[in-house]
Amino acid sequence: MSAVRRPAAPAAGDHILDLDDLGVVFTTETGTVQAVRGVSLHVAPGETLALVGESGSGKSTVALAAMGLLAGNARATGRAVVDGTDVVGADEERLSRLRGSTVSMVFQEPATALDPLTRVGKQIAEVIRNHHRDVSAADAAARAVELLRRVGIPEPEQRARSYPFQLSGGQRQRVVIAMAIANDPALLIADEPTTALDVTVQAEILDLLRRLAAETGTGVLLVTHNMGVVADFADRVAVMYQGAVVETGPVEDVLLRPSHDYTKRLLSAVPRLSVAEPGEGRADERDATPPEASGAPAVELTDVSVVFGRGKHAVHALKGVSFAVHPAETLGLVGESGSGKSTASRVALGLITPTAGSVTLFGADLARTRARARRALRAGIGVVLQDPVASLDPRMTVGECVAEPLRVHRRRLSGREREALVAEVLDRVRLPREVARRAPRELSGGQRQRVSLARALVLEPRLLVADEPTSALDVSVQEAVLEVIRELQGELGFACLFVSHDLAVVQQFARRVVVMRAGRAEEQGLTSATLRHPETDYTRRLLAAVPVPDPVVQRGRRAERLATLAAGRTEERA
Amino acid sequence: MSTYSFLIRRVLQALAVVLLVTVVVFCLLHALPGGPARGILGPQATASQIAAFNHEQGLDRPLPVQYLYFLNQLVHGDLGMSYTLNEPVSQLITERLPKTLLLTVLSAVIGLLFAVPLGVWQAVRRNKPVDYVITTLSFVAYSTPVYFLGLILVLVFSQVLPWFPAQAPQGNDVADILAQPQGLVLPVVAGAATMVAVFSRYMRSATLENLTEDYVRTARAGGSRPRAILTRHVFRNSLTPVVAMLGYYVPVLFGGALVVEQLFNYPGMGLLFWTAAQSSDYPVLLGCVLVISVATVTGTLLADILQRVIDPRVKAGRS
Repeated sequence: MSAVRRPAAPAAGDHILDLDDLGVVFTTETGTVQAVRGVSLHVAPGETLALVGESGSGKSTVALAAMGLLAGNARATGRAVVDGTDVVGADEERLSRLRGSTVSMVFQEPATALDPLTRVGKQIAEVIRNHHRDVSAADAAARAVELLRRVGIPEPEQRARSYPFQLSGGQRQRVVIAMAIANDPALLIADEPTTALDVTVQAEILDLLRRLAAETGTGVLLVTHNMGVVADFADRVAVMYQGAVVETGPVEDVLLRPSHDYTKRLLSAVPRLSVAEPGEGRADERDATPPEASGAPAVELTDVSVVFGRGKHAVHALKGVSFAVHPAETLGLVGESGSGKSTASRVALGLITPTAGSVTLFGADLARTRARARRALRAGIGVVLQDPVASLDPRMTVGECVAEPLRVHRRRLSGREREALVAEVLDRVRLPREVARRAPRELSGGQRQRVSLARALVLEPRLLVADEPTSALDVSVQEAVLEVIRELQGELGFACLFVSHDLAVVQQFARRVVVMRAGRAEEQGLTSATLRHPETDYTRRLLAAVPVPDPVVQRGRRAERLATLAAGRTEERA
Repeated sequence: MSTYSFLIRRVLQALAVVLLVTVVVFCLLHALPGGPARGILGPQATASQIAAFNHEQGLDRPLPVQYLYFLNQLVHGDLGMSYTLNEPVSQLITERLPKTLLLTVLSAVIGLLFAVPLGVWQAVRRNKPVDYVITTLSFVAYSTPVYFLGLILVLVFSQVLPWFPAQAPQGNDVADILAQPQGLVLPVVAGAATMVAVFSRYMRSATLENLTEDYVRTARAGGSRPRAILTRHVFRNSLTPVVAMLGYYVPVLFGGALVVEQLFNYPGMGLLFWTAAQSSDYPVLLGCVLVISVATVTGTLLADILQRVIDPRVKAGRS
């Protein structure tokens, strides 16, 4: 593949993508849904347009419509012109010639985007040969290796022979990107390309996409919900709300001086990582001692290690982790995937017995308590999990879901007393009492997560363990759910162990923080100090990788991060 | 796990299962009313005759000792004598088993050759007339007893249209039978019909599921044509669950052979089993049970190995 760009077809004008009054209607069993209406946008060569919005805003539907990849029950109207070809109404053969050559796509979920039974090199080669029939299989394979090298995969010759399951999430996404750029497309559509990845991997993937787009002058349509990613990557932004574009403009204007009310609301709900001003000293540490006056910690892990499996397959999930959560305080547990934060929260819940070390729950050593006593202790813990869909039994009503802990731990209550308690706790999480009779599926994601919270709180726990409670929610909903937890903590005084990968959320929500890395507690302390003036390189790298939703600040952070990386590399070489 | 150690482990597991089966078979033998002696000497035998027989055959010794003796005989290929045919059971089985294998393997292969493409075709034409017609035919074929289906086949293709003989080829070995292939057509079709019905359903649902997978979208986004996506990606991914089912289908195939062989008077294991059941020829019955058990264990073993070949994730222990 030559790096020379073919000139854009004259028919397309200056734009590589031109959406004109694009509409998409889905036909479902319950009627038709207008998912997208009247969307007119364009992408110029070499430019990145970010399409932002919350779930259900239609942003992914627009991206799929531009690829001609809409589901069978969807019908597009208007025009979606890619390099002179109107995708709307084009036949499959025409689209096949366009896809992977003129326009290509990077998807959200690298875990499922690749065929599990085909070696990655072969999958890349397939895209090349789809458009260059004259290229021999051997040449295509060699080019696939080159592409893997270009997207930064080490030992590309070996990796080309790997199956997708043998690669990490970030590497899989690099393979998907290699497929997308295999034929030097003029337009790259990226649908939440980094949402499933850790922040440090996200930063690398964004760097990669930016470099590739700059090298070849490719236009990029970036679909994302993450304002930090927008600030990091986009030249222009289009904000979508309920199927329509409500605001378009240069990234500085939209993110710093939004004009539409919805954009303003959306941006104000985004948790912002507060970063240290240059020269600012480390915050006062006197407050770092936990509030001993309020009594013993609700839960305390002392030098806890957890090993899964044995022999050479043993996985050391936790290595000597110690932390404590005190009544009425929130401890944030942050780290990337595989760092052991969820394992640590499960140890605190008594669901995993540590291989070494001790766990004290409300002053009682879990290893020395009998099953019955441990059960009683567990009644003092409430749990909220990440997925509001999967964590509620679809066959139960909301009322039954919330009442379940009462049935287990307060068996002597009458049905009427139970109902009264359920109604009370629904009030507390600001849900109307009527939802008790409804099924979980009838509620929105945010409402469901409040139902989970109500269930966690119905026994008036002394400890709330929240494992990524808002990661599946839109920012505006996340803000509301976090607010409810904060208020109830003020009223009820429970201790809260808050597990999250989102440093900005933890910074706003937790008083103290533990940064986890590869099964160890890398660093811990007051959030205000630790996340503003980290003491370890790892935390510093983690923080530097978080994109902030301010394009000007983010540009500076990115330059700084890349300079640090380059310096590190030079040092290594020396 | 390396392929080598996997094979060893898996074969050892299979052997353990077969050993368990021998225990069950041994217990069945002794659970017969009056024990094997009554079975052999007949209902008129006196108590002293039975006692003498039991002593002679070692049947008055403790059960575990007897089991070891039984096992020893088994290892030496001695499954006892048939009560009615006056031949060693092992000889009957070595004579009949190849013929049954011929019938079942032919039925299975031909059945799959139709079932797999039909299932894929249905998935691609989902909810179109073709899909409905094949679905209906599948359910009819699935719910028709093999016996009834065989009778209809004989009536139509042997009586009304004299195309094929109503009786299966006779003969002492596989070569004799293969010399008269026209006689095999109806038994094989009868045996394959259920196979086609069941496996076209499996293949249809596996293909449908895979067609909605993300990797299909990725391939389309790379410009792959629908047909290429189907043959290069979806087909192989859909085959894995179907292969797993195949292993568990072995006993069903033998069950089908039982009926088909009786119906077409085909001289295989099924017919042997059938006549033995009618004449209470216990040693033969138990020999057949043992053979079918071994076949089932072998079937699942082969399916496991095949799955490992198709799906690299199985080898890595991540499926």
